[in-house]
Amino acid sequence: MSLTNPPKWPMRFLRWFCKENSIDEIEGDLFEMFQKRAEISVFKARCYFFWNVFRSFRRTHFKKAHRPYWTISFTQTFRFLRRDGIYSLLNAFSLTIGFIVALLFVWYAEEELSYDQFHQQKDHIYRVSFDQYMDLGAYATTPYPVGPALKMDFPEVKAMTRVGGVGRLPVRYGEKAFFEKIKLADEDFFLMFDFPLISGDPKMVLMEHNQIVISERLAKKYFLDENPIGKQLVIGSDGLYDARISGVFKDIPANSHIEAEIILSYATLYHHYDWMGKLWQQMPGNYTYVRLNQESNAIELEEKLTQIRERYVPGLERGDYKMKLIPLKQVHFYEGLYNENSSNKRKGGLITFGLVVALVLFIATINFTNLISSRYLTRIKEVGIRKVLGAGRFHLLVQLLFQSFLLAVFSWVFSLIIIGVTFPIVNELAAKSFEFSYLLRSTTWITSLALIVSVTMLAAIIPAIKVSAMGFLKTSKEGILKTSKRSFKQSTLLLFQYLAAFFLMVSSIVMYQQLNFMEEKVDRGESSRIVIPINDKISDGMSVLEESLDAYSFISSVAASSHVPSFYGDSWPVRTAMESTPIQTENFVITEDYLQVMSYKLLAGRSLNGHLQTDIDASFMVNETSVEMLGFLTIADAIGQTIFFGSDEPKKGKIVGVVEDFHFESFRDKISPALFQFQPYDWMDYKFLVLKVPEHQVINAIEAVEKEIRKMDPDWVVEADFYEDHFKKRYLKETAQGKLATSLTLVAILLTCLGQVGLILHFVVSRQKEMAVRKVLGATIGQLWVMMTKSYFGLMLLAIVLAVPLCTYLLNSWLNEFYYRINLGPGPYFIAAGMACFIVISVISVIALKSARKNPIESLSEE
Amino acid sequence: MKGTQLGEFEELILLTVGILFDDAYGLAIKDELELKTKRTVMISSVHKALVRLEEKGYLKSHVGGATERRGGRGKRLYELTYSGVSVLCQTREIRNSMWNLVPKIVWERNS
Repeated sequence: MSLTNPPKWPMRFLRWFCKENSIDEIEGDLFEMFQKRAEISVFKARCYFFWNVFRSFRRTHFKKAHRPYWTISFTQTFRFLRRDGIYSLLNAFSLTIGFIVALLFVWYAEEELSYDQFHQQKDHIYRVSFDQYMDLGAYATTPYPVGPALKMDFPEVKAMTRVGGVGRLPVRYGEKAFFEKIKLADEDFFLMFDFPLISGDPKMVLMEHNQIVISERLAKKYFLDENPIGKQLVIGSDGLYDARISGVFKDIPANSHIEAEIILSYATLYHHYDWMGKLWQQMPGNYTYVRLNQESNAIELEEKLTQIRERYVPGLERGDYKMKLIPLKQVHFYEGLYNENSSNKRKGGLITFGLVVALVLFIATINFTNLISSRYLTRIKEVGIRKVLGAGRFHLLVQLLFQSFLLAVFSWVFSLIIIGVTFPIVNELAAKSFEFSYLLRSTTWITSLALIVSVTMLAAIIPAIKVSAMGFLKTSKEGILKTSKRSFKQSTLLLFQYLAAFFLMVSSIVMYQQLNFMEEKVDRGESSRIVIPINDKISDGMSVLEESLDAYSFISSVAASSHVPSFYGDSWPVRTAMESTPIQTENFVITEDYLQVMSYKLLAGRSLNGHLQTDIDASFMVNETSVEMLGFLTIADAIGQTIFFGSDEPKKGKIVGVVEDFHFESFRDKISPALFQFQPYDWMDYKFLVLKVPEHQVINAIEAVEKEIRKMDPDWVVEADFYEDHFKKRYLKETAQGKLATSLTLVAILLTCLGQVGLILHFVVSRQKEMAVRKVLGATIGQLWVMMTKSYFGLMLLAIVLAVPLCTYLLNSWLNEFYYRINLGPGPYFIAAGMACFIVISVISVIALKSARKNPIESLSEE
Repeated sequence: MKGTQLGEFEELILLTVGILFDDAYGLAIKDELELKTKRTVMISSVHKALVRLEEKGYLKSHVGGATERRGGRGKRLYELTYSGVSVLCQTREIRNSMWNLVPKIVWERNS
């Protein structure tokens, strides 16, 4: 009988992995099977052969790999981990959380610090801002003509662009219409800043009027795959801003303080309003940037800027026209100016964030340290035996360090996995857009390495040195004793943990209280207030619109206003007599039912009446603060008084009513004076329609509004918002801070719990016999419980006592930034203290009681 | 005695080793099992079980004659050890005692 040969490759594979002892046996069996099958069908035999070799690829048959000795540390570590089980897992998990928080912070900080760094010419670009704009204060923005004047008059200025906006307007192309924020820029924009253009010539795209550029994202949104260049966009409803697309730019990255999706050329504005070049004293609304040539010195130029005042605003009576140049690199963190960019962050805020992160990391490291220390103490006996068997001291040290290093690495890997999985949640919390690619950044690796090494060192170095230095006799005796009492070091560390957790808890509560306070100030009862932006066409027909909407039963009341109370508005000088100093007052142009819709209370006098001609022409309402600032002694005094609104050709009128102060700016500032009137000039349009609607009728109301508005202007897009949401967008920063604080607090609590659990488990295990003996001697469960809780509870109280002054000081300084703030009462402290004690005690109780109830016989007989 | 849990497959293999007596090696055991239990058995499972049983001490092995049929490779022949025999007996005893405890009526009713 001739023998067919089985396929060679599987055989080679088999020989490669299979161990010496079994190779003959397995190969032989497979060979025999092959022969038998080959008699029937060679093909089938070969198939089976492949299959069987594959199935034989099992660990039992593997070659005993020859591993170098140092890899024993790996096996040892796994052995220990398995033995200590849950305890190790808990504390490794603590470290994982610490790593996660640290990495996220590093990414966050990196992005914040990298703002605007990608512009090639960043060293020569400056933003022009005002140290003193007339008598109004320091402004980040400038009036229209400043930029072009700088370029024209100063040879040092090589390029200039302004960045401004005309607000949110509906943009329409064919069937697609959405509200977009329309920005303005000059022709040098793409030459100064590195925002690459996908199509269009950077020199020409914003040169002329009716030119507009859009971002890639917007191009896809409106044009899908068509080429947008040359297409006409209808913007707003008066044809003013209609423009042809001259270019498409790549989406602006997140770390740029300049944000834009759609940019219109300033030339368009100048084309329609030729008097813009003369508006030197209007409220500044444009960010102006200049690029200086290489040799120029910004400081010298800054001093020369006073020439602008002399040349263009010679008649300036009050205040100054003092400008300054801020280097591009500093813009993102610049503070102290009005009208500053909303995406600007405070450097101080970043540092605080960093400190809190460090705190959390600290807690996690403490847990890890506790783990490592106590583990070493229980392994003292083992170390002793190893020494007897001849292990060198250095060798042992390295081994012990390596074990903790391995554990740290393992935690780190786990943290990466968790980050990978929770990206969407994190992005939402921090209002950032982290991605997977961040994991590969060099900063990630460097930070990770630094963290792992330092944590390992911190946690392991001292115990390792002590233990490896011990003589054999010492280890076998003392090892057992040392595990039971908590060392001073451990106690201090635990104290810090409690302190940190408590501090974070109190901060969260206080932040929440403040946010709630602000929200409540703005909130007005169960009806919803809806805000809908409108254009001037609709504004002109406002009386008709109001009537038709009033007809709907489910709309409680309707009004219109020139702007919605939020941060930026319209401020005008108001005086009691022509000679007196004016006070800047926020101007609200309203219709009759405005106070009713917005639920603002009238404190004295009456509301404006649409049927009285005197009211239409010459009456005002003012808010409480104005009364004070205009010099009236009481609110009642103000009624009937005459005031002048505006500077050139002011409108003269009587105060007929005083309205309560309501918030329309940041809670950090005192409420400014405000004034209400019917439309004084034709060009001062209503920009918003406001409705008061019962909550459940909101959808019906919006539909009704859409119907009526379409009758007046079929091209307009109706976008409705709740007033509260509109306002909330204004203090997004505080909300984000609050969310962040809460998350970090939860993390800190989690960590402390983990640490607590770990310590208790350790305690319980090592004092098991002691507990059993006490029980036998007659201790009740209650007494045992008290004994176990006592020491931790004492420490917790101490932590609270220490934390209270610290918290008070820090939180008060945060709250002091707000003009309107809550009082820091004892409430948050009690709540936090209560929660903390509750958590600690329950954790201790759950674990310790289980063991305290154990039958002493079992405990004593366990070996 | 601790650790005398014997899996069903392992028990069958021990029995088969007993049956085959002189010539108990991987392939033969597999064939015998397939014959007796009328189900497909993978040779690699047999190998793995044999190794495990040997580690547990129920079997011992030695390398036997090489035949041309196997391309010149030796066979590893297995036989039961004392503990192997005793664990088989134990298992059998437990089964039998439980069988005897089942009342007759259960058998009659369900047959």
